[in-house]
Amino acid sequence: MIAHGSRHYGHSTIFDPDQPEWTRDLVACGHCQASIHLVPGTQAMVYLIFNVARWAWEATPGAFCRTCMSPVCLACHAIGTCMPWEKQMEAMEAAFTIEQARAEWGDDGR
Amino acid sequence: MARYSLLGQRTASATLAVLSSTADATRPRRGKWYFATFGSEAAAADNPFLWQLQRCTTAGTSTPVTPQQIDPGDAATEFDGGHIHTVNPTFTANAFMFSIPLNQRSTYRWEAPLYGEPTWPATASNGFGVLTLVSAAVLITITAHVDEQ
Repeated sequence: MIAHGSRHYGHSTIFDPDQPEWTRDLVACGHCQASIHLVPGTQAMVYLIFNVARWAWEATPGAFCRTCMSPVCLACHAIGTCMPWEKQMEAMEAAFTIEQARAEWGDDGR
Repeated sequence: MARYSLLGQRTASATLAVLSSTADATRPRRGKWYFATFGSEAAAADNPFLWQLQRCTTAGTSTPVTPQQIDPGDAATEFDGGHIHTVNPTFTANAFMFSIPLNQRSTYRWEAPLYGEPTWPATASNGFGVLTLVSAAVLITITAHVDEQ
């Protein structure tokens, strides 16, 4: 079942000739942008995590960052601090710009 | 902003990437994956696959893939595509955008959440690569749509 009422969900669909079509909604982690599968009808409150060792999907309570007001993946939730991906990219791009300037103009240590 | 399509195809490997897209090394721009399909065109068989999209910071060594403009009016892209890697991109540990288990008979379609599209920063050779860490040695294909900013 696909959740309705928000156009922000992504979709994950498996087409298997021997099975009914499998579709789940996706939200993006606000901190790392990982696509998170959702249990249908839970409004991003319960995540579906694939357990590779058991080769099975498992329902797990979700996580939400009240600083950036975004769902977050369990790995980012475990870190415990808020750093939205946009901020991380800005920091990376600023560092790259400085590196480019140093490569072009040189760096005498001042 | 312009949108491009990338096709990656190889005999699946449990260690080497299927496809990568990375920012240009000297004129990097941001790029977003917003749609992808994965599957195998090999004869039907029951083999497990685990497809993963992961961040990377180098392009590795691969056969170049020319991203095709979805709108022919757009300019050629700056970012670089590659498939059939012989040396993997430098993957960022644990930076998986998604992992999806598939049977070889299955096809998978991924549509990114709106405003949550995995985005690479405008820094040299940052981007994404696709791995099949669980796979059988059969032909597999991925088509990815990328929005370069």
